[in-house]
Amino acid sequence: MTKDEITRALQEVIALNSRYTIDEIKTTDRLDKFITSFMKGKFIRRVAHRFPSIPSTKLTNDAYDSLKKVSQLIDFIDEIYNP
Amino acid sequence: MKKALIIAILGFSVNLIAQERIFFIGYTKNFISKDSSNVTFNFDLNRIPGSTEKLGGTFLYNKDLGEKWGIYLKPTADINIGSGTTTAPNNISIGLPFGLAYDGIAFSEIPIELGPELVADKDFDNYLLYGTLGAYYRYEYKKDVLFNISAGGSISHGTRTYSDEAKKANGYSRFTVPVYLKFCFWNAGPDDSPYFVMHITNTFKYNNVFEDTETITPDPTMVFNTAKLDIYFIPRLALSFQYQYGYEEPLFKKINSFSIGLTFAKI
Repeated sequence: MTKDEITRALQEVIALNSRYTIDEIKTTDRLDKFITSFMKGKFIRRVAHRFPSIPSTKLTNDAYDSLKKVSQLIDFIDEIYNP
Repeated sequence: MKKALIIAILGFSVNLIAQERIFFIGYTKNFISKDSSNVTFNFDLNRIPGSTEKLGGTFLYNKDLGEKWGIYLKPTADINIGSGTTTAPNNISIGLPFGLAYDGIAFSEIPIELGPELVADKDFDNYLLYGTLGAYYRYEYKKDVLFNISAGGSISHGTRTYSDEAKKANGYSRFTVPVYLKFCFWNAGPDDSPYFVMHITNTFKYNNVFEDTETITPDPTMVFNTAKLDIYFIPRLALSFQYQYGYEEPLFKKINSFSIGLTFAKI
């Protein structure tokens, strides 16, 4: 899975779980622009379903904390799929 | 130039709009006589007793189970301490719910949670230890405004224990309907203009304590409500106004108090 494919797939997951379209989701945006940490558990489970190799509990705890932006989430996933 | 300077001073942009409360400290005026003016401290990690209404925080486990389901395990804690006896619930509660969640509805989550909970008074003289089984519905709308709701029902069964060995422990059971509402808005423009965020939160709990000692709960119906307004002028610090009314675990003493103070949050 290339980084571009990861970006597109993550944008699709965010779009499915938010009120924003894929085109409105920029990688430079913060995650909480689209989904707040109130729905963090569900959102990361949906991300984990799309990317089965990621450690979902670690990603849940890092998201909205050390991983605040969409681009940081992409980098986290990319590092696992393209080490 | 002036705008850029204000943004630099405040240290945030329009993207920084979702704060998560860590703790609140404030001055409290009580409307019950002889206990009038006190300091109140609240600390929140994921929960109010009876419902893990806040879904942020740390998870011990969180995993999808296929396309529409998931499971999780997460610690929760809540501390509400006041210098007066009836200005705050004066409780310390912790829990470890295991959740099975249905994720198949857009913008929503429907978890069934099961787990142990401990709710003690601030001196640990009187504490409740019980297991809770609950089902909840959680929903989020987030675009021009933020709206969160969490509502459901839970049943708990366990014991009330005293540190004084002369007092005998007794059984404790309750049915609870918690409703959590949060509404936030901001005056951010399309550019990086300065703004503030206003959070309006209401937490309501209906408790039916159908097993307990009558000296503490002579009436099984124990309602507790907290309404709070937070005004963030900088992302990590809010001026907060809080009104609490009702009866809360473990002592169920009547509370009718208004607090003004500062809320510290993370972004």
